[in-house]
Amino acid sequence: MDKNRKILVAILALLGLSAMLAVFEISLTLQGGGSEHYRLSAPGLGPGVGVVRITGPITMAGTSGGGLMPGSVAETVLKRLDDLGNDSRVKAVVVRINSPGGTVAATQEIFQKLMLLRRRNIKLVASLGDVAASGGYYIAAACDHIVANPGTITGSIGVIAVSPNLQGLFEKLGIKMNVIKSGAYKDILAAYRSLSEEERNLIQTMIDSSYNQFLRDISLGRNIPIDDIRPHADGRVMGGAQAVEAKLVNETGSFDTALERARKLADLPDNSPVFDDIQSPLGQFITALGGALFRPPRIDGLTNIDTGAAMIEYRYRP
Amino acid sequence: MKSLKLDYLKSLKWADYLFFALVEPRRLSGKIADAASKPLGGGIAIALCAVFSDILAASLLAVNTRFFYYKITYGFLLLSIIAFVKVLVTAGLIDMLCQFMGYPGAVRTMIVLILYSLFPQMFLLPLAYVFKVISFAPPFFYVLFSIALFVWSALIVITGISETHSVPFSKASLMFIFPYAFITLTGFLASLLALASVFGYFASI
Repeated sequence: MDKNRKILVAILALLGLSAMLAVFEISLTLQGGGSEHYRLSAPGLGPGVGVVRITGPITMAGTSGGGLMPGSVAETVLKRLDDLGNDSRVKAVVVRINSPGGTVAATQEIFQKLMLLRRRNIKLVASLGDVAASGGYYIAAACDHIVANPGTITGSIGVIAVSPNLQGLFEKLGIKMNVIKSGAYKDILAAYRSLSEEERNLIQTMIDSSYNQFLRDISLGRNIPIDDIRPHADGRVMGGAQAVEAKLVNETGSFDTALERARKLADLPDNSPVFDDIQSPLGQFITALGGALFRPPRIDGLTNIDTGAAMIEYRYRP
Repeated sequence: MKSLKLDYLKSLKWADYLFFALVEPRRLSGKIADAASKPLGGGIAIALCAVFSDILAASLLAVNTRFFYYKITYGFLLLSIIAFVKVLVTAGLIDMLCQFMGYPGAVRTMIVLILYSLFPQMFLLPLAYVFKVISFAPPFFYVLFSIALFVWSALIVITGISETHSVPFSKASLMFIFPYAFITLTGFLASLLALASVFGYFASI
């Protein structure tokens, strides 16, 4: 019986301790929020905010991302969004964008995936980094709220197709291409010859179609009429503050501002966990090693050359 | 007298009531019935702690403002008074029914039994706290544990009634439910009467 009595006293002591902790925590909260360091919360559990990072040109080109090899930006982002969407703890997602845009299809796929999450009532907030132009902004437009730094380069709403014309160089070097083709336009945008007027019109039609889709999607995502977007949609770039004036961005602020906004939109507490996809230093090293070993050689700025094809892109090309 | 109380506290004999409340409610009611002076002080302390625990658990889950200070002072007093009235009314109605059914009156035992039956409700705070710390549906678990702990308390009282009056558990359950059913029915009829009076008043003018 004596043992039972001591157990009971221990239980009472624990109950008293929990009461003291509760009073302590509530008092800290009342004293101006207290310090996050003192607040009792377990990291990584419970409802929180997911983070997806979109860095660099958005393209489907690249490996499938198996093993050590990094996947293409688009594939990696789509998989990450799938993971976040399937995670019941994720009530909001911050999309951190640091990209000049990319290919039309890759950008549209990410946009559609974000809209799908939005329809599932997951709150989306875009946080724009150094550059979130063209396709980078296209993706941001799918979010409920956009936060940009005052110095962020954004805008550049438009479509571009770039192909080098090396005909003169080929002639100078005496290089001739043997081309056997099934139709007149099969080697359209080939680097070894100039573009004909019909070919130019054909590409222009595609560009116009992609441009209109761009405007429609911004209008849908931002819930503003296309006519209000069109004056800013001539390919011009702008800073974050200008973008707020143009109503392309909701507010200026940092990544933390975006996190705070995401929590507010999803009605989450201030200390709710953040599920970021940043790996451990070892994981980053291994991925970087894999990328260095397996990445195909490329000439920067000439994306179409490393894949051998010209591309129509939502991309800011300074 | 003072040293006698201190010796009693040091002996930890008072902990037996709490221990029996948790693991052997039958022995709890037997011990209360046998005690020459009913351990009313311990029971009152348990009830006060249970009210305090409930206020803290609810405050932890809510958005805290300066109103917390009112909750923990005036609110604590108000809820304690409500809790004691509830205990007295419940014990009185149960004992009234028992006497009506031909059993001897034991209202003091019943009051102390109901007070000690509130002991499991002190666990609401640490249980809700765990789910608040891990941020895993704390309001849901607060409600779930509130219900579960109330059921636990009810089982202690029912077992106590069964032991005190040597009646089967099912009959003791009905005796326990009676006050709640009676209060619900009375409240319902009173509200009907009030509504009818109000409508009648407005119809007559």
